[in-house]
Order: sequence, then C-alpha cells, then structure tokens
Amino acid sequence: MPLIQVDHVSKNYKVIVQRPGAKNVLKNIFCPETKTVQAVKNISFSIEEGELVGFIGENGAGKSTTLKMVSGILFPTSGEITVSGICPYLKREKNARNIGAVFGQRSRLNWDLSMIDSFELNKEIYRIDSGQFQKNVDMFVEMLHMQNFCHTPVRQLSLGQRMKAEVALALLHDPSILYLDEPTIGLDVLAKQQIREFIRERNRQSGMTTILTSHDMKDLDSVCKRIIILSKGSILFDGAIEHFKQKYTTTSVAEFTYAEKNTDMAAELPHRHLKVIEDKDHRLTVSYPPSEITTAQLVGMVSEYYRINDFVIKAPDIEDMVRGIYEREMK
Amino acid sequence: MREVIWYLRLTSVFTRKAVKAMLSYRFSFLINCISQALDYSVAFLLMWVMISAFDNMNGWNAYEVMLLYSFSLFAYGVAGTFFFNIMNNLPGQIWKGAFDDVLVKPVKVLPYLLSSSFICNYIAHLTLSAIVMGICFHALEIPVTFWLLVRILWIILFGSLIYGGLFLIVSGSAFLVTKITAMFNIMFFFREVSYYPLSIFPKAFQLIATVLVPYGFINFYPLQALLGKSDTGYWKSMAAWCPVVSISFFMISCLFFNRSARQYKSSGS
Amino acid sequence: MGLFKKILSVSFKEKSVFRFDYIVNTLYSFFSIVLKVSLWKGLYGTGGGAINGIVLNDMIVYSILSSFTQGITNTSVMNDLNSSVLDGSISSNLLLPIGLKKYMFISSVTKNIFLTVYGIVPSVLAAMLFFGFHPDIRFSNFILYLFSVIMGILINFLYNFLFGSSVIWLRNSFFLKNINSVLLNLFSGALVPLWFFPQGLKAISDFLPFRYIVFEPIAILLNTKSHEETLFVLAMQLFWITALFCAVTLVWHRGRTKIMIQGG
Repeated sequence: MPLIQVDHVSKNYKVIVQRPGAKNVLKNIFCPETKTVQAVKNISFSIEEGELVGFIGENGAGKSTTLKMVSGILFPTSGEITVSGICPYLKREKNARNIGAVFGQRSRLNWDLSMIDSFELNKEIYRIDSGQFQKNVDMFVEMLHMQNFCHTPVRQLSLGQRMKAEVALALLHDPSILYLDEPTIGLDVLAKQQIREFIRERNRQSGMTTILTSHDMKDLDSVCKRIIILSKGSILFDGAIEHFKQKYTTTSVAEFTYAEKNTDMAAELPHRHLKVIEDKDHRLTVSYPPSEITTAQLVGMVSEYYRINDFVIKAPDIEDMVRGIYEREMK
Repeated sequence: MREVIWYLRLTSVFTRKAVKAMLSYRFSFLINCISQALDYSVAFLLMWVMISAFDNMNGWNAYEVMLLYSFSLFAYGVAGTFFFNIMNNLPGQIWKGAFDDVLVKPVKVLPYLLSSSFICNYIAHLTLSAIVMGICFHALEIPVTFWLLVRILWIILFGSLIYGGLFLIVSGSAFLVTKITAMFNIMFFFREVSYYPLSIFPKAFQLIATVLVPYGFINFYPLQALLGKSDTGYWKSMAAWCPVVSISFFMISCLFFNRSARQYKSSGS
Repeated sequence: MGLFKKILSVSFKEKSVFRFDYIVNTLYSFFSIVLKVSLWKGLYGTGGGAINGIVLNDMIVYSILSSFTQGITNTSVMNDLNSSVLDGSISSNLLLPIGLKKYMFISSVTKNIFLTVYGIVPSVLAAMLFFGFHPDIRFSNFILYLFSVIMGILINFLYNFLFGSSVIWLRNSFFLKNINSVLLNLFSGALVPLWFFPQGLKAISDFLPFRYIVFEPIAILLNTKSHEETLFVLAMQLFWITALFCAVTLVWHRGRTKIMIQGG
C-alpha cells in the first residue's frame, strides 16, 4: 500500500461571471451568472514512503489544488484520496498530525515575535514533548544556520531567513510527509541551497516523504527524484526525473575545442540532424538529437573535420524541456 | 474534558505570546484605549443631554436608558475579548488563503480560533460601562447589594453569550460571502438599537430583536424586570427566558460557524 | 473628467461583485433612518408638543435629510491616506501626473456619489414613503442648500485630508480617526441637530468647522434662517475652506519631503 494514493480525483470550482456593461449592473447583483471551472481533471497517482516528488505546472495547472486536497484542506468533487491509510479531508485532524505544510508566500510566523516564540506555539499545538522539541530546535537551527536570528522579531528578518524559519516550523513535530508550495520564490542563492540541502538531509535521516511545487527547475532537479507535470488539471508526465530527461531531451548541445580545422563543417554537414551553432576561436558548438546520434558517432564525425583537443556535452535544461512539452500541448 | 483543558492551556500560551507581541505597541495600545473611552463618554453625555431635555424616552428616564447602554456595552466588551479577533481576522485569512494554515493543524477549527484570538482590548469599554452603571444605580437610588451584583453578573453572562453568538455568525459568514462588512453593519446596527428601550421601535423591530436575533435579551428584557417597567405590551416578563434564549442562540451560532467552515472546504477559495 | 468616469465605472463593477453586501448596506442605511426617527418619536412621546420650537414632524424631516446630507458629504480620505502611507503605495500616487489632493478628492467624491445614488437615495425615498415627508421647502432655499452642501463636501474632505496626513508622522491614525468621528458625530448635527444643544456645546461648535458640513445646509433648506444668517453661513463655509486649504498646502509641503526622504 503506497503512502499517498490518489484515485481518479477531480475538483470543480464555481466562478461568478461578470456581465459587462452598465445595464447589466442590476442583473449581476440579483442573478449572477456562474460557470464551473475544472481545476483538476480525473488524476491518479501514488507516492511511496520516502519519495521526493516535484509538481511542475504553469499557474492554474492544478498543482496547489491537488496539494490542498492531499493535505486535507479541500474536498475533491469526485474520486478518492488515501494518505497513510486514512482519508485526509474526512479525518483532517488525525491527518494533520502527520504532515507539515508550507504554503506559498504568506507567513505563519508571528511578525512581532521571534521565530523561537512561534516554534513554542507550535510545540503546544502539535503537542510535541519537550525533549523532542529541544532536540529538533537545536538541530534545525544548526542545519539551517539560524543561530544569528533566533531571537529577533520576525518582521526584521530577511525573506531568506524567514523562509528557513517557516520550513523549520513545519518540521518541528517530525511529520512523515512534508508539503511545500513554492518554497524558494524570491530567495537568494545561498538560502535556496540551504533549504534544498535541509530537505534532502531530513529525507535521508528520517525517511520523510516530500512533495514540492516550484517554478524553479533547479529546486526540482536537486531535490526530487520524481516529477509530476500538470497542465490544465491533467497529468502530462509522471516518472523519474532521469526518465523524463531521456524521453523529452530532443536536442543536446556539445562544445568542442580544437587545435586545427581540416574542412569547414558548416559548409557540408555530415548528418542531416546535426547543426552547427557557432564556430570561431578554435571553439565549435553543435546541437544534435541524442536519439539519432550517439556520443561516439558525434565525436567520430567531428574528428574527420577537426583535430579535437577536448569536448563537453551540456546537460539539457529541464526548464527548456518543460517549455517544449507545453508548446507541444498548445498545438 | 481533557480536550477543554488542553484548549484552555493553548489559550494561555497564545495570550502570553500576544501580550509579549503587544509590548512593542504599548503606546498605541494606550492611545486606543483612551480614544475608545472618549468615544463612548461622549455618547453617554449626548444621551444624557438629549433625554434630560425631553424628560424621558417612552417612560425611561436618562439614567435608566444609560443603564441599558452600559449593560449592552459591558456584555459587548466581554464577548469582544473572546470573539472580536476571530471576526476581525477571519475574512482576511480566508481571502489570502491563510485559513489553509489553520486547516493543516491537528486542531478543531473553532476552539483553535478561540484560543488564538483572546485579546484584552476592551478595558476601556468594561471600565467605562461599570462606572456608568454605578452612577446610574446611585442616581436611581437603587442600593447596590450583594444580590444586585449577582443579578448584574447574571444578566451580563447571558448578554455576553448572545453577543458571542452574533460575533460567530458574522465571522462564519466570511466562509460564504466575499465581504462581511454588510453582516458587520447589521450587527452594529442592532447593537445601537440595544442602547435604547426596545419599546420605542416599530413592532417589526421588536419582533426581530426578540425572536430572530435576540438583542432584546442582552439588556432590555432583564433590565425591564430589574427596574419594574412594563412598556412593551404583549412582550411581558421575558426576563426569565434569558438563559434559555441566550444558550440556545449561542449553540445555533456555533453550529452555523462549523457548517460554514465545512462549506469552505468543499468549495475552496 | 475622464478619471471621474473611470473611477465611477470601477465603483459600479466592484459593487456588483459583492451583491449581498450591496443589498444589506442599502437596508442598513434605511434602518438607520428608522432608528433615528424612532428615537425622536420616543423622546416626543404621544403628546405632540414642541420642544425648543421644534415639533416631531420637523425632526422626521431632519432625520431623512441628514441621512442624505451626511452620506453625500462623507469621505474615506483619512482611511485611504492611512493605508497608502502605511503600505507605501503613496509613493506611486505621488508619481501620478495629477496632484495628490486633486486625485484623492476626485476619487473620494466619485466613490461617494456612487454610494449615495446606489445605497442612500433608495433608502431615503423608502423612508419618505414610510414616515411621510412634509417639509416646507422653497426653490431658492434648495439652490442655496446645493451650494452649501458642495462647500460642506469640500470642508469635510479638506479637514480629513489635513488630519489624515498626520499618519506620515505618527504612523498610527486610529486615535485621530476615532476623535474625528466623535467630533463629527457630535458637532455636525448628523445625530442631534444643534437646536437641542445646551449653551456650552453650542458655543464650542461655533469655533469648529463641523456644523457647516451637515447641520447648516439642512437648516438653510428648511428655511429656518434669515437672509443675513444664510449669507453668514455661506461666508463661514468659504472661510473654513480657505483656512483648511492653506493648512493642507502647508502640511503637504513638509509631508511630501518627509515621504520622499523615507521612500514612503
């Protein structure tokens, strides 16, 4: 039995439509027109204990809605969800003991108090025993480098410091599942890195399952082993990040440095899928589809034209790949 | 029972933290208290001036009407201590999605909100209305005995419960409609009605304030009995019904609140 | 004028989004008139005599008119200033190619026209039907009333703008907002017309601008003033507008610098 099981789940919202024009004001007031929007359309997936899963999707793709249903905040319109053997929205309180959540950019820390004060409030709310609480606070403060601002009022903290405190706050009660919605938006590189490292570390230490949504593909690449791509409420892709790369990498880029040129390759290309992007200063950049040309073939072809010193194959950017998928979807 | 004790404990922790947070706003807190006291003092003064100029308001003299006002204000202050912050914060929390953060906590919604919303901002209301009560009882030559004090507390207890219920209904409607200013206005409109003898208002109002939203039971009916008035025709000797009315109204309000919160979960934001 | 239209159409849109709100608020302003009239009925009792030369019918007329006059002269500028200074959006307002005062005045007046036409006028009409409305109004008084109300709008706006600006220095306007509403309620005549004031309060009100916002325009409309008295009221209104305008200009000269230094 997987830890999280989502079975044919849909979620509809009712939205009020404003009829334009002054003559419709009264009509809008007394009989508003509503229309149903399908935020999530019949999705199914399951997540095993200890997995690190990333959700990708444009705004309104249904990421947050899915996360809210799995964490017990919203009822699905149809379908079933099971988390650690219980239904999260029917047994919300019981489910809540097991999960930690950081949703979006709003703060759950009290602005006029220090972060430790907010931790202490959570200690009461989650009924954490004093020993475990102290142990976790010490450990998290150490891991996230928060020693300097433990006792500063939260309103004086930087965004990065605040976000670290938010993530730590969500993990004080040792939840077995962590939900993170856009945890690194607007943070500096160092803070991002520390938060990613922290999540990976917690996953290693206690087997904490983590689901995160992000626009930052580096988050996903460095934290997650598996990604689920949503578009307009449906799942486009669900699988290992490596698998995703293999499947969707349409073009790779290779950069050669060479000592001398025999013939100009751009003039007579040896393969119809091979393209020269740039060739100057003893540096040649080409793009090629890895499905058609293997690395060995590539090096073989290029070495007929140039005396190669060295070459690098650049890993394809996930962001580009996802954009590629969306563009294909649009057509 | 263990749950209740646990939530009380949570309240005390939250309140300690809230007091700590407030210390950085000591000055504005003090200023707010003073300005509220001033606000209500002027209202009391104006009331006294007007009714004295006319001698009485439908048989209630200036001090008797001021007594109505002060009982209503006191009960409002007690209820506000527990419920005002819920009403004040909930619409914003729902609007910004911060209510989701309450739902991911292993707590019951209403008791949790109560625990985290306790405030001591009503010192001005409570002090001022207690002083006015003293002045009125003195001017009306009613001796303040032990039994009178018990009776006052009895009236205030049930009055506060009714106000508490009203706060909950306004708060709960935040789950159903985008803006609660309208509900808020209705509540404060009736609060103003409760400052005056109910008998001066049209019959429809009297009916609403007795049956639908039991404002009459906050102060009018109990004080009518206390002062020996009989100015409402067929709505006589209602004072005895106070406990029943206020407790059931409060329970209905809790039910409404919980139902609305559930509605939020199915509709989403 | 373009701005005026734009704000008006936005107000209409905003309002119909919150339809429940609109219906209840209209009912609310109707019942506020019912409340006022009930209080007067309670005070006058069934005797029907005159107090200070005023009979019950005068007070019913006054209550209805004061609801309208209070509604149209009302302004939210203190709140607007407060929130825009505290959240920093005032800086972007200062970048508009239109003076801040002018911008806030137009937006406040437009919002109010909307609120009055949509919320208060229906309730005032309902109250007229419900209680009967038998005023003694002449056409010339009505014209003078209009002049006087426009000046009342200006006085209330400038006054609120002046004291609302204090948020730049104090960072907390709750106290002033509260004091302001106390003074306005007490001295403008919105609750109790100045006819019933004891000598002391009346004397104080002579030195404050509030009576010229609600009470005096209605007093002119109801033909309770001689020609000289009416002229005096209009002159006083003009005086207050000039005085407040100078004060606002002075304060904003400093406030603008302060905001620009702090960056809002």
